[in-house]
Amino acid sequence: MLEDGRITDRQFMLLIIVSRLILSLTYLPALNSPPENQDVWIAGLLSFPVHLLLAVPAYLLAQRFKDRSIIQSAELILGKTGKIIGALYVWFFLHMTALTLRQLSCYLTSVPYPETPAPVFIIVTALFAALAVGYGVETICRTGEIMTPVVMFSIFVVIILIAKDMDLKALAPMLEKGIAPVLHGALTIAARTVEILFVTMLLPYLNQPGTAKKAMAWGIFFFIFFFTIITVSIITTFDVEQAINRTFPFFSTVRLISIGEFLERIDAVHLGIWILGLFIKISIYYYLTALGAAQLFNLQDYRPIVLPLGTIIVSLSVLQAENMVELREFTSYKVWTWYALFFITFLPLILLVVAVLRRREVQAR
Amino acid sequence: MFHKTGQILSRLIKQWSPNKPRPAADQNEPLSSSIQVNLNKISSVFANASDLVIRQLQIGTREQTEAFVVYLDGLVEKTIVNDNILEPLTLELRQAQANGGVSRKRVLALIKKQVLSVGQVKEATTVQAVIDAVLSGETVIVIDGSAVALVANTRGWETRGVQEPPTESVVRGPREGFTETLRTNTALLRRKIKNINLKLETMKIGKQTKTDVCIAYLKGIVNDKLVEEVKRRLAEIDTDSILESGYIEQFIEDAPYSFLPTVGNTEKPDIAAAKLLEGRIVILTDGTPFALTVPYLFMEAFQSSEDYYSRPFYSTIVRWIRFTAFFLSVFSPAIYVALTTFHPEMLPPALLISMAAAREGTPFPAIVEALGMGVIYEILREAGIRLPKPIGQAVSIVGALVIGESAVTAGLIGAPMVIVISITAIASFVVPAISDVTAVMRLILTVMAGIFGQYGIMMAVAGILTHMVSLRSLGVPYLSPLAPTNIPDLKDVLIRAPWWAMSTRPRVIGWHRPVRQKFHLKPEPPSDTNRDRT
Repeated sequence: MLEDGRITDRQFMLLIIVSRLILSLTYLPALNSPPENQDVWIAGLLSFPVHLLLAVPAYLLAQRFKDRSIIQSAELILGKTGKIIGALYVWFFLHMTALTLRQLSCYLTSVPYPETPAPVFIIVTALFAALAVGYGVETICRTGEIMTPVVMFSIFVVIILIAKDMDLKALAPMLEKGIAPVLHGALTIAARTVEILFVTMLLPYLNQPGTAKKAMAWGIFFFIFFFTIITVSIITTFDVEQAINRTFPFFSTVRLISIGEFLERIDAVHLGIWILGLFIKISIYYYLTALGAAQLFNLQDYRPIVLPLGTIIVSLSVLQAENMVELREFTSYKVWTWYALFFITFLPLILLVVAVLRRREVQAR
Repeated sequence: MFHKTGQILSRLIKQWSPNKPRPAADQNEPLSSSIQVNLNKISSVFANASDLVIRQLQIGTREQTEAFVVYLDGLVEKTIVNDNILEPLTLELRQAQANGGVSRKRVLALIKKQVLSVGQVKEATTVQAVIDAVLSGETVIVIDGSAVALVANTRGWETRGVQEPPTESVVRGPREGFTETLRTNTALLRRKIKNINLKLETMKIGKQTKTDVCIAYLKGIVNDKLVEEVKRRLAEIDTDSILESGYIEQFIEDAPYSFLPTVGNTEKPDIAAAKLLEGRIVILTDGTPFALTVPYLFMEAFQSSEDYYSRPFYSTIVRWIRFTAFFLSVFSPAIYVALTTFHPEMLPPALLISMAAAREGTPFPAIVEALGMGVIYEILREAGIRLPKPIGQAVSIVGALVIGESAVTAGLIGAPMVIVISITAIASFVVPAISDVTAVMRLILTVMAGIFGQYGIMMAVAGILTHMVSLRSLGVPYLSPLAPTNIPDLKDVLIRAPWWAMSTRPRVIGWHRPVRQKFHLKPEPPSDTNRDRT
């Protein structure tokens, strides 16, 4: 077996939360997606059923092939053609790793370290993530188990401290443009939850596979809860127009905190927690890349290919966008939604349909 | 990746080490029935051992039997040898024979059953057994015409008394500590746990030293697999000498390439007893007061025996003081370096100005100051430990005056750095069990902070955290109950719950039988009768 670690349903849930939530603490592309006004938080709330809907094919597929990842089950369903789909997923996880690394370095080079070249951060982070990947899924999940409560707690603290600057009138008028853009927004928010794919990769390592459904639903629920309070706090501290134009909306909100001329500069602590959370996200996608590639090529161990994959990830991360504007263009809802939906829902749906038609199931082993 | 490197390294070491079969001990032959042969053999084996005593006797009256008594001077209780072995052999045996007469054949049984007034008498049939017995302080009686020797337990040597250990002193709680004698230590444990389930299994480790090592555990509470694993690891130790439990620790620990300890130690019987009662295993080693405890989790470093003897509220506060001190001692130099070098804008303006003024004119960058002061502090600490006490004071005066005061006045280092290093030093004494760990973590963090600032600190934290999480101590995750989270177990980690609420043992270790006491033990005032009268 490639990986003999086991993870609990709580770890699985926290991993989904931290991985999905952590980028919302700086980049919040949802603000620039439809409905592009004060109704973003409604879109966030409404995205819960959309999330669940999008997750159904991936979940059913994972349940059908309980001890196989999507890369292995694709091969079982489609034969040799399945390899292509497996390769696509390895590419997707690789791209997610590179993208997240780039988003980390973009933030660091634009605010705290304007003079440091971006590849420095990409390479150093990738090296540390490679260490975590070498330790295996158990270690990554346990690190997440320690860090995620800290992330959630820090969001609560920020919201409490900023509460006096909030102006809830900024949320009015509700549903200014009608319900259709809000629903569109809900779809774009749900399409960013690539973490749905965790179930297809990590279900074989859950110590109680039956709890995956609940863990996923709770993870998505908590994410939406925090997403909503984050967007509400941003929109109510700034105006909508200002909030939309900010590159790092929540970070700007944190900077505003000033209590008694003593409790200031919380953003330093916030930045630290953000880096740690992002580290977990990078590690898990890096891990899925390595694990997926090892499964694709039927390797005995994924560890030897961690560093070679790292070179690809680092180069891709540096090369994929000239600057932040290009990066934001790619991650905007117009491009990202369809790119991600293809992997999150479309491919699992096809695999599931073919599996049902061909009556492929896991033989009792 | 590190596991891989470790495996390769250990494989190479195994290949290099000559794994020759040990030469068959020529002493392994049985004893002869001729006393002269036995005497020659034993005295030739113990040639040049000036502390060996061989007392030759003739016992009995009618049929005089040659016999000799052999022991090592200094390892035996002389009064026992004289009063309970030599005197009965020479006098009482004579009377016994005078009364009834004893044949030569029955003399051995007679001596064993009627003559020797010593608590423990065994029989030895091989030369090797005789040698081992003599070396461990027992007295051996060899009689002509018998291929069996009698071994009387007469162990007794100069020992240090039970004293208060200097490492783990308490205000409230028992003050006795382990000593260098294994038997005393096991007795101290037995006195705490009067239970037949307290098992004490002894084995000898070390080809040259043949040190007694005792595995103590509470049957029924401990996980039997853990005991088997500990026994297996101890049995695999094939080395010359065990002079201190630290030798054993390095042979049995789970993560030899980690700077974190996965085996704990204690010098106090009450702590050892508490660990036993939680389902842990204690390894006592002859010759050292430090007992090993496994499995050892990181969070144990923050627990002190006094927490459990005091009332819970202040104990909980003290526990958080320890967490704070740990974070201060690990992070403060790194944060100082990061702030002054990379992120001055994060400081409030007033503080920034005063800090900049204090650093005005100092020649070195903050990272050099931090590392240099760190090294000087470690030198001072080491000097203070090793030197005789009167000179030790001189060291601290030199350290405080020259480095603290003069270096700042001379403008060599900034005053804030001296403050930071002092906080670090004092804070690291609050959690003494892992002060070496904090030193390593501090170094990593300071260097990373000097290179990358806050980002570097966070990456170092991520690296250290993943490393800690990946460790195991005898299969138990090192950072549990934090990760994997076990919420019931947090009652003794994040807080110190009152005793009536600690109904379960730590589940990670004592899952075998987790219930420690009855639930609902909270003391309550008597229901109603008194209330009416007042």
